[in-house]
Amino acid sequence: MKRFRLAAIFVAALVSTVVVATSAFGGGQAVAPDKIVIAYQPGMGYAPLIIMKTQRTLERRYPGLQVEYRVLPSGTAITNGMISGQIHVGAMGTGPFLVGYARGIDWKMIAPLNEADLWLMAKDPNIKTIGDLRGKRIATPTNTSIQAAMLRKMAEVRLGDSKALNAGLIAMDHPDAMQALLAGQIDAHLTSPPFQFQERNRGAHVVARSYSYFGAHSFLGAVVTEKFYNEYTQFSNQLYRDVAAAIKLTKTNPKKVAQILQDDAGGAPSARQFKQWIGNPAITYTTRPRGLMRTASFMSRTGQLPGRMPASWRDLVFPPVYPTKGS
Amino acid sequence: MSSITETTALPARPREAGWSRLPLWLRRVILLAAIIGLWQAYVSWSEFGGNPLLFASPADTATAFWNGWRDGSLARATWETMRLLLIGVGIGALIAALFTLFASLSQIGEDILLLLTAILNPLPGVAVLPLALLWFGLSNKAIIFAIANATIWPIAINLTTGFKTVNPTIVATGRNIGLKGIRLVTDVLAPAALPSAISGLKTAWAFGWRTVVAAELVFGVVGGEGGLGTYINNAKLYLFTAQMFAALLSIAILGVAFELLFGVLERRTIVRWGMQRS
Amino acid sequence: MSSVTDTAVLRVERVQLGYWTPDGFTLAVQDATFSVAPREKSIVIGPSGCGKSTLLKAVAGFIRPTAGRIEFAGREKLEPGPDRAVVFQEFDQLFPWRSVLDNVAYPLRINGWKRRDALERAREFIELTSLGNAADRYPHQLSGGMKQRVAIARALALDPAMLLMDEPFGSLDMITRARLQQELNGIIERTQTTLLLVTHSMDEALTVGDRVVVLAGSPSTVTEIVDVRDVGPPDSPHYAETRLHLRDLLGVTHEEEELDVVDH
Repeated sequence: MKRFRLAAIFVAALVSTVVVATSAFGGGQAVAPDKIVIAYQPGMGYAPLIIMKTQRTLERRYPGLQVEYRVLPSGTAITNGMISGQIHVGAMGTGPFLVGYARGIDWKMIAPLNEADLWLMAKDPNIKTIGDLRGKRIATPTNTSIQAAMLRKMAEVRLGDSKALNAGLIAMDHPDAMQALLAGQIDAHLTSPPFQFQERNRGAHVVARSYSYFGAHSFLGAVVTEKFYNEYTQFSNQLYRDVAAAIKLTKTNPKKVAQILQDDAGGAPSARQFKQWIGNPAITYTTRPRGLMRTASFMSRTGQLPGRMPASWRDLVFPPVYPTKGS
Repeated sequence: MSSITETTALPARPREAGWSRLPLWLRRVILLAAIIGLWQAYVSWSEFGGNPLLFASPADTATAFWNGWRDGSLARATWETMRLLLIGVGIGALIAALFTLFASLSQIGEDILLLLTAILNPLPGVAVLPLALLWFGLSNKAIIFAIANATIWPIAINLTTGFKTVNPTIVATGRNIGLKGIRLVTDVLAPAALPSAISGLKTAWAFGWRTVVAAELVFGVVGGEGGLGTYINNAKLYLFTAQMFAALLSIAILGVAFELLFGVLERRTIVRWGMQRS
Repeated sequence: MSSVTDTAVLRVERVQLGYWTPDGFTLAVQDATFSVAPREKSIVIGPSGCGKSTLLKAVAGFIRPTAGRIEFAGREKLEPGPDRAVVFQEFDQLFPWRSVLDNVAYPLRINGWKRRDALERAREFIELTSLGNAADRYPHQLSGGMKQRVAIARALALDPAMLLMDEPFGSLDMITRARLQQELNGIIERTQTTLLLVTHSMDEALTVGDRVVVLAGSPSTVTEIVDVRDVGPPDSPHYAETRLHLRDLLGVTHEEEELDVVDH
């Protein structure tokens, strides 16, 4: 009996330790407005956030607010952070956003960031068309990314089967994939600005563009959970306006924005380069979402959205975005 | 004491706690049930545990497990991983055998082997993967390379020790009855070194197993079929947490299965022959 | 160099044996000369460290003499082989991964016997050494005495020109030892095998042997070769006399024997 009691105490201690330890992760406690974590990925697509970071927009408006900007390598990492409550505002591609939504994460976009034409780049001059890519190695960020979806669309249109190029898909981060493409380790890379621009500068050529196959579409957006929005509605609405303001700056003063981007990138690429890229029609900063439903239904068709489907684009965004009349 | 002159009945069996008196299988079953119960309790009563995107309940895990095997996805992933593992361990064992041969034939061979083992054995299997990716590109060859590296050294070291510690009397007997050269190695040295060989193989298998799953996770190949690591990765991507749990359960079960297999191997050989080392 | 024993199976002439140690070369046997005739049972006796085991190993072919010659059945440069089957002192001379039957049959198979004949012959010798019930057991399941019986069966099944035994019963208790000595006599009686047995036990020498080669000194030499064919049973006066003689040759004092230092 004594031994039994001992065992019971041991088990109880073990269990409470585990519960206490993990509840530290658990609590998606939206933070009292004295700390907020904003996460995004590397790339000029996140320029509005970078501008806000550099200009300390939030810190100035809310004195005492601890703002932490974090750069994470992938949409998956940001997703995980948001589910466990460590990240409050996550900027990611529409792909991972839609997948999360489908799988039941209660989140929506608080502020779309841009639309972008995503290019399929190849270095080998012999690869001229989509058909040439059969059986070849193609890199995209992850299987759930908007880039992977675009590749499937291209395969569907050109080759009749969205799965035709699946066998060669490799998941790689943009910087790694760019290196691999230029080194010849992979055959193609469906990527985004600025990487596609950089690859073109370094000898790769464009095989296909997502706009040609899919029409113009949203690329990145800032996302918060419904819980967060409900708890900090005013803050979130204001966040939308701050993003919109930053985006306006890219149009009114691209030179300044280019300088901000250069500084944030540690000196290279150069501000001149960034200015060129900002002006490139392949990327347009806007808070108007475009093609969200189109993207969702395509991804659902190819089996990438296991779960719930939004009924309309408004299900995917918070109220401040409604007036933009997106799609 | 009267017990010296009188016969008493057998002394009362020492009173153990009720637990120890239960048969082994029953104890195991009860503990397992308790663990599952705690698991379910955690899912039901904790916020973290209750979030299906973060933590799967026993029921969900079981369902995902069952479905995964039924529709073949887990089966294919498991087989793919096993395939890589078998090839990797096979190559590792071969190279290890060659090394051992070299080491047993010459002092410099032994020195080289010991030096290489000291340097390369401590490397976690996955640590060589980035290098392997550079050399072999994004192919399974890189994974096999990592596995081979993780398995060569434990096998080589065990085999060499095994050969060195073979009873000299047995070798003398072998020579006495007319065995020489290769025949002496295959008919006397090899069976005598079997305990060491099995021990080395067990270690290598464990290392290889860990390496292959980790390598697949790092590898991140998306298209086509992948192994268990890829399965887990994919599940993570689409937030199929129950599938992740199911894959881990599969790995655990496989681990137990192989333990049992090794046990059978040992019982048929070195235990039957009384050759088991302590 | 013909001598009286022209038909000797084994001729050991002025053999010198030694081995290398970290301190240099050590001589174990200075000068040994003796011979063994066919069907003769020769015992080499001496105190521990006198080099008798080394001598046996040289005859077996595991080492070469540094001087002198060893001639066996007309050959000189000896390699280990089944014509001089050895029974070692250690119990683990058997292959643990083979059954008793297989331990006896396998050496036959590798020496050209067909599988079925080998098994038959193996069974014969297993019966001969009173191991009938143990044929399918594994060595680790046997007692020390039984293990040595298996070794004897294996050695004899090969029909060696000479059976070499290196203190075969040295690791056994006295009762088993005595029994095995008697059994050995009986078996060799049947097989008529030539025997060279090394021991430090005087009683063993007298019980089993025809001639006793006494090695003494350090490094050792053959002090004397004593004929013990007709010593009679252990309680006979001739036995006691011969035993005393051996004791003197070996330089064993009464005290040492009393203290059980030397085996009796």
